[in-house]
Amino acid sequence: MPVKVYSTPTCPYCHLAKEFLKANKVAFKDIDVSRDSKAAQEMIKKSGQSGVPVLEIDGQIIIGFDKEKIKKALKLK
Amino acid sequence: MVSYDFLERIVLKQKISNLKLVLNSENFIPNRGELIIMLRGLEVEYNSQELERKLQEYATKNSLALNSNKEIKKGILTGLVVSKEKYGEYYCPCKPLREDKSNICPCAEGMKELKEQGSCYCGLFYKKKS
Repeated sequence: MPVKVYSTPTCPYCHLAKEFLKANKVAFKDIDVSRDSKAAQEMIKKSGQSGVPVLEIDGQIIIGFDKEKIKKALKLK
Repeated sequence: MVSYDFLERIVLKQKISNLKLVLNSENFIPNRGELIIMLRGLEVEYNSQELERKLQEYATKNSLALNSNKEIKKGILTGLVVSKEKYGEYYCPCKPLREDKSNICPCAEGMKELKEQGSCYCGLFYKKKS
């Protein structure tokens, strides 16, 4: 299942989200949008807002570190 | 009367000075790496406290409140301090950097979010409960 995390290095919620994925052994692509305007625009286009983290799980967009939504999208118990 | 916060900052500053003295001494330091990490931690903590004091002043002036969850608040303040070190300004840690510097904390976008949703996206500033 392809998982992308749009994040910035200074965002505490991004760290929590990435730690959560690692703890559940979920491989993901980390996209740093802090200074990459192309990636930031891609994230804004997909999520309709500019805050991080944004997770893209199998095409589903999740804004913020919403553990329950992430678990559901990853089909984790 | 001298406040606890003020004394805590003085103690932190003293610890930082002492560590710098040790690190800069010519004597052999077997655990230099650990000392460097300790110094880094203390400096971030000190700068976070300084920043919190300034943002608390801003919040009070504007009838706002800082997040009461200490862990979340600490995480965001640390993000802001690291942003200042890395990029030169207190850019919102939860948004991409803007070249026009429009997202330096406390930012206009955050204040708009606060009016609409009760808090800024980062969750640092909240509307004061009446």
